[in-house]
Amino acid sequence: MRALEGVRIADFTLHAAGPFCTHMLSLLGAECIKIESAMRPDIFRRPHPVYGRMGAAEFDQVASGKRSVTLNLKDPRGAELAKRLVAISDVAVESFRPGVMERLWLSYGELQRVKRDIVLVSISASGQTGPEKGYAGYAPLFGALGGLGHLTGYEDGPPVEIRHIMDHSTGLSAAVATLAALYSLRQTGRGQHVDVAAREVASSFVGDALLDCALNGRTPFRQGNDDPVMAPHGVYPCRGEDEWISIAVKTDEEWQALVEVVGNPGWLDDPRFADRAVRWGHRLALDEEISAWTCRHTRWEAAGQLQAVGVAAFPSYNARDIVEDEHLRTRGVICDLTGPQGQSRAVVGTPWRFSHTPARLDSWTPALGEHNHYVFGELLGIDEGEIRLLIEEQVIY
Amino acid sequence: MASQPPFTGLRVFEYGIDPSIAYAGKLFADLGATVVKIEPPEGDPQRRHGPFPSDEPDPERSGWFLYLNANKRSVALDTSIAGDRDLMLRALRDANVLFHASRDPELESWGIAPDQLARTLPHIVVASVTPFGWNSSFRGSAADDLTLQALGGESLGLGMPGRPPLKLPLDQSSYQAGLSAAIAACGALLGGGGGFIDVSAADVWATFYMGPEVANAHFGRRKRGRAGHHVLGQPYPHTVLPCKDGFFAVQCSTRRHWQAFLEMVGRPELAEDPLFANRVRTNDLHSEEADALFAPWFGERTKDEILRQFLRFKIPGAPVYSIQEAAEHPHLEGRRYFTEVDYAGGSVCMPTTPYQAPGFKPESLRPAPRLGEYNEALRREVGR
Repeated sequence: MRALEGVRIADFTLHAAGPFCTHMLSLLGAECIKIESAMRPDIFRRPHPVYGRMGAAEFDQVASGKRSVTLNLKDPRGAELAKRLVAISDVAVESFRPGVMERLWLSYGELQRVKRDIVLVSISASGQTGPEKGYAGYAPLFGALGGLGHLTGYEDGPPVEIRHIMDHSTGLSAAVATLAALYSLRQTGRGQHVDVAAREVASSFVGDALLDCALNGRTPFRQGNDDPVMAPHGVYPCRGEDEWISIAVKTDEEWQALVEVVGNPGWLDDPRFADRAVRWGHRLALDEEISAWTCRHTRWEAAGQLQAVGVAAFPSYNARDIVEDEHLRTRGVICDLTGPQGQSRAVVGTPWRFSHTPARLDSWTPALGEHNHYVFGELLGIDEGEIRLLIEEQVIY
Repeated sequence: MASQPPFTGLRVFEYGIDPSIAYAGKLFADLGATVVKIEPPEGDPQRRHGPFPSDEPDPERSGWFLYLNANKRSVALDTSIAGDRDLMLRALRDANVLFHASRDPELESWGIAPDQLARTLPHIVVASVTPFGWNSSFRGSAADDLTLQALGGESLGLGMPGRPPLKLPLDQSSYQAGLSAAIAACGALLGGGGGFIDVSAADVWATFYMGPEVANAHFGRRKRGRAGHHVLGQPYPHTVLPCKDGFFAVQCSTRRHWQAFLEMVGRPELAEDPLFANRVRTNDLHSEEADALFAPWFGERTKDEILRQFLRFKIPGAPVYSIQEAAEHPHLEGRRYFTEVDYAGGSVCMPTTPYQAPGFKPESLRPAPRLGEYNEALRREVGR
């Protein structure tokens, strides 16, 4: 049995951050009903330039395993049906801009009226309160506002794009909050409204930098791949096109082992590299020396030799490397999913192996409104004729 | 109606030295659980990791340790000694969750490997967090945040084209693995408790952040390059532009945003410029040329001035705030994101949780525990 078997989620989320939260709950076994509309389908249903240029790759990841219904929430009858769905759910999750749920007559108070102990989770850029609550935001902006963006980049360059880290991390943090609220509901019988702010998720990942600022008035800056104490600590070019190896040396023993592997090019006697602190001071010169060695090897030769002597070293993987890696496939990181027409493709699994309550992805991306009859008919008990009428009148739409 | 934090009454233990389980434990501690950190007699190495007040190292004053361990209790145990292991096992009888990060080669002979503990203590959730997985041929292999981000596929897409791949700053593998372990442990608790969960930090990066790329690779799509400061494949401008006092992030997805942007910068005629005939192409191939057109407008204004214009024209954009600017921001102050905690004879402003609910906040935040301060109390509790 899966951990959240029997838990039902009314999922009003769009795009990536919100759906990633409900994706977590769905992987753990919750029945997640995604409320969409043909009037304004989730833009991630279409191929998206970042999240899947040719297929809706991001949508496939976060919507697999969920059920899809279509509702026109702007029609009062649509909002009413949404409330009936909330009434048979344990949790509702939304990621609109603050105020939208109120305008749709789906505020926390309204939802409580139909389900006294509902847990409502609201996910937004800046939260439901505070002077900037209404600001629109997307992933690159969350990181910029929260401090993580400023720290990401080379020391001599601008802040760089941090890809979908912020969307997915916001979903992960929101999942912790949702599960905590669900736990509390089981203990106390009380629901609550949880307010998740994506810019604060970004800030939560720079806690030590925020404390450095609070304690010493310092404002840390971009450091590329540098570590505050380790050297070498970097990503070095290998033989081949855009092939790289990451190397991190923690201790002097590891340093000596690395020098052995490289073939003792006089580094042990070089005063610039005498111990960790001195090496750190000469890390740029050291990086050049190491690059001269890595350039002559493939990433696998270099990684294999360094790992064998206990040095943390690994090639910088691309997606194809990940798909083809035997270790990752054995761990279930990559698995195969079969679609309704028998088609099969590689998908990412979960980073967890549970002994008792397995987590898994077990169904293909739902078509828009695929589960209308199941949800409105079977779950809500609306008869077939009425459902047809609601479809004709573009309420279930 | 007074409400109590959601994890009130839960007992959580951390065993093994790794910031990932400290973050997982923190997520529980901040929501009301009693979290006991089992440290080696010499203390968690994070205690020796700065920042320290005035840069003076002091194992009881590490800012990094404080951030991860406020609200927790500390016991110092030498688990190579049978008596201390016995104490740990007795204490775990009353626990709900154990986060386990030790990879000591002796664990199995001591009977405290995570899968062994899950069997001997079937009522508790044992979540092991390791770089490559407990059940893995790489269990003992060396790893670092840098190499984990490389293996997980994260770094190859970060940074500038033509320059080395970058890692995300600070110790992001620990935050990511900790979050993932906390989700799994919450799930297992809701599923009735008990059981062994094997979490791998490398797997977290590969599963949670490479889904779209894995799908694209499967369909033979081209490899994604490093994005630099432009979000590849998006219509221009999706970029970070330098301004008078730093950088400003711009995102114009829709035609309306783009037209409003041109109007805002006083260049409406550029809508007809061939450079912008296909904005995705502009972004991927001619972004520097395009950036140069708008650089003067941004260069003459501060982040705050630009933000006000963006709000007026309803265009998504955000200042790239430095750590200090984020720390002092009135919005976060308005949301009481920071809270004072006793520290080093005074107090310090600490970030709280990125989520709020009336019942979520503990009434007060306790500072990080002194090493072993809970030893005597724990001995009393388990009847020794």
